[in-house]
Amino acid sequence: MSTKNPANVDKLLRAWRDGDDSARDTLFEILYSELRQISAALVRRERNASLSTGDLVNEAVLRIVHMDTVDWADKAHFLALAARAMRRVLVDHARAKKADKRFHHKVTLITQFAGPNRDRIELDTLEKALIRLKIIDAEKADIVELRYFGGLSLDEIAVIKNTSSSTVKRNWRIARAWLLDNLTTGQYDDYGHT
Amino acid sequence: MTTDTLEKAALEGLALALDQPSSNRLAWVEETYADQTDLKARILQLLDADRDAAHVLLTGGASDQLGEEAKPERVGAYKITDMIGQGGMGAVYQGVRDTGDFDHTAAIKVIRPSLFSDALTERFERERQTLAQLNHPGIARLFDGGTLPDGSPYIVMELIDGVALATWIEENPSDQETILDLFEQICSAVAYAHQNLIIHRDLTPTNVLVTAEKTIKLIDFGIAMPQTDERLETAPLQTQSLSFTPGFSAPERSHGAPANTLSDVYSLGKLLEAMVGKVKANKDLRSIISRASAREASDRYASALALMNDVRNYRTGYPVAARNGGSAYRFAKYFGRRRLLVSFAALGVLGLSTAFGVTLFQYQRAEAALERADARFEQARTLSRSLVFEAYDEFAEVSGTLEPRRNLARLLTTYVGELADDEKAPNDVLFDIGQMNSRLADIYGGLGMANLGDTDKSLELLLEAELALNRLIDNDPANSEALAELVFVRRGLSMQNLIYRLNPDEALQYNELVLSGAERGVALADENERTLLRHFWSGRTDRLQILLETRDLETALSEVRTWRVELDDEMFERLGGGEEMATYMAAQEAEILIELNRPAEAIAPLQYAKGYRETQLEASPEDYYQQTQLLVIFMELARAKDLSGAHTEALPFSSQAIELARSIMAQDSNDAGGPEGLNSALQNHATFLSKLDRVDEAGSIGQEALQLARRLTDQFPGDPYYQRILMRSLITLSDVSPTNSNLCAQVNEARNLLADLNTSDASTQTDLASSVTAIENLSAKHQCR
Repeated sequence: MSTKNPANVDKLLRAWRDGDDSARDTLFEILYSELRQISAALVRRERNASLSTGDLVNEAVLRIVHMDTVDWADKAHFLALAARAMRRVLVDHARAKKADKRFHHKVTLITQFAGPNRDRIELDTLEKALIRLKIIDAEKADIVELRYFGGLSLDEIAVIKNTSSSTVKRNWRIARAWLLDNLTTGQYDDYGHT
Repeated sequence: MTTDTLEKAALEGLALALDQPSSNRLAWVEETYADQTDLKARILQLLDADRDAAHVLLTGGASDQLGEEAKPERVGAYKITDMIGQGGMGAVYQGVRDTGDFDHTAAIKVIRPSLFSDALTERFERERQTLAQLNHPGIARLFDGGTLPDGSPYIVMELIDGVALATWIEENPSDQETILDLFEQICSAVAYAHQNLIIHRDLTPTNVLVTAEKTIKLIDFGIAMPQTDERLETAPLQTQSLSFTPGFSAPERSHGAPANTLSDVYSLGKLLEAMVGKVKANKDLRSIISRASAREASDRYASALALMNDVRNYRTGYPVAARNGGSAYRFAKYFGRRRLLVSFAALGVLGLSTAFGVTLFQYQRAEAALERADARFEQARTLSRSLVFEAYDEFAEVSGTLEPRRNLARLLTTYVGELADDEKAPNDVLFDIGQMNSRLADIYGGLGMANLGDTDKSLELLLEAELALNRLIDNDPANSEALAELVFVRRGLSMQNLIYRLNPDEALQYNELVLSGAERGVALADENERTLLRHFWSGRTDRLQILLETRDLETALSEVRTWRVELDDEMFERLGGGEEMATYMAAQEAEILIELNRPAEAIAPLQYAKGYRETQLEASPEDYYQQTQLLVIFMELARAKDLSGAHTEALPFSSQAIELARSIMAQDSNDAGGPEGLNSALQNHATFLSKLDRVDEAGSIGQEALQLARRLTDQFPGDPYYQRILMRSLITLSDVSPTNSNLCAQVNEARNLLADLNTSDASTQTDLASSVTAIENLSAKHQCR
């Protein structure tokens, strides 16, 4: 029986909700594998992504679970899991590229239409900064994961974090400012320490 | 304090600082953390980062890093020389055409197809075709497009030497006039796109470029799609919401609502706000901004044109619609429900320009649908037919709508013109083109009816109509309906050439085509036979008019006599109302004879005409048309008798004319034609009485005529037509009543009126020559001055 079978995924979700961490880990592996396939397809076809990670995550989630059979809270937690899987996929991909001799330049992040001299953010550096933020303020680091890697809405994050949207919004803003400051000034080793 | 502890404290401090009003934030930090130098510095540093962070880490933005930056060597006929920019949807390069045929540098945008479906690609392909049709100075031109070997679609666009609006405003501090000039240009480009069913979807200060000449160019239609496209059910919802920039996109779009014209209006409002931010916006401008960017889509301006109009109102000092409680909007809603059934007459009290913007917009939607030749084609045709044949007339009845009427006519003309460009237009479409152009020609310059006074355009439209109908008849020579329409159009061409162009030769040539075409149509002997036969006889009345205009009276006389013989009982039956035609011809014959100074011969045809009119009036005594026509016949009879020397015999006819004129006047006191007819009959009668030396009677009749003339000039002050009637009445009275004590006063008044008329009414100066002589004779005879 394939773990990807939607009925099986529903069962895993219920088990996770009932406190079964191994069910969560299985779901994570399913999501990770799904998302990796998607991004690998992207690279293989040499087509650049025109979708946000929110789209990628949603698409992956829709492929493996019948969302309409899952209640809202379950869905939100599942999306949170998917956001983490997405983060893993992207960071792995960035490191693989960096290791590959064919990629001389750093893997960078382009966030807007901008001129050739735009500021670029290195994803690998971002990952290190996030690890550090997790030490300083885990709550805010989680929000970055959900929002930036998972593309989740403020409302979805509020459900996951059991708080209000306005608090999420405020923390997202603070985390973002902190990250940007660190990305432009900080130097990190591979473990997120300056 | 360890680093981590400091960072925690800094995050908390940042949170507190962000809770302060932004104007006070820095001062608050300085004061609160005055004793903690390190922490204070750290918080200030984070606040600094906060300003840029929103543009760097976007929600769901992480996947962008998957993008490779491989620059294609060449795209189509272009060699890529540089990258201009890159983003989630694709990249923009600069390229030079290197096929050797001509030098050309362009911007080339390569779109990354969606990972999950080809729907985005298809949508882009469709959009590329639509963009190719956009030709507006405010929209970057599209030159070419295609697909790269890997399947990525691309477009080749005008390379614009400009900077983003955001940058431009920052670097060029400008006055409000300049800013609003730019904004109107933007509105105009957006409105134009909307008319072509294109929604921009991402109007931001970075997607508008400003050139050195201060003209704007909208770029990045890459994410726009035809508004009528159904939502792509297979694509995840998020693909829809990819294309909006927070702050400039309408609130409903963050809930996944599809973009529409109103969400662009919202973005325009936000754009205006950002643009005038540097200059002080006053109350009117602020209300325009808040109306455009209202949270509820239904509270916004109904269209980009309406917004532009209101900005124009503001600039020219007119009341701004945004401040009058949204009545225009309420109308728009009403209009949206009722479509064109709404009576234009009801618009008087509403914001007409805004309302009309809505009308145009709805029409233009249909028009654009038509271009795509889809299922809505028929609907668009029906809509434009109702506009051209019904709505226009209703609109024309509202005073002060001349400019909107011109706009409507212009728009319809463009639409019909575009229909005509289709070389494979089926016959029924060709017929529509002919008929609508003919009707539009009437609107622009139809003879004998209220029109827009553009006779050149009118003639041009008639020629268009002729062309379309000729094409139809080439396809289908036995189409009598089309033949009838063609004959009708050529009658218009003939008469307009005669009267507007003063070109009787051309008029005569068209008249020959009218007569031969109608004859051929009659020979088809189908259900349109009678229509064509009537056109044939109407063509003959045109011919008569042309001959009279060229003073070819002998030819006119001989032809009209031949035609009167043809108008026998059998012809009456075929025409179904030929007696009217016969009466008209008889009156014409009489007039020609009087002109030829053969008044005695004119009596018989006039008696014929009189007989017919009187018979008609016996059946329906109230018939206004027959009454006025009989009045003319009475006066012509009197004139013919008078000219042939039978002055006594003239009197009974002029008495009858007076009696009839009084009765006409009594029926409708508001009709200026009543007093005018009576005045004319009285003047004639006074002259005849005077010739019979019945001076007292002539004097009192002449006085009555003068009083009527004064009544008309009081009613229409300054109108040269009635001034002339007054002048003639003064001359007549002075002529017939030489013992009148006011005589010199009357002669001097007539002379003054003449002087006014000579300056105000240049076109009819030659008509005044006899009056000049009359006044000078009277003046000399009675030693006035």
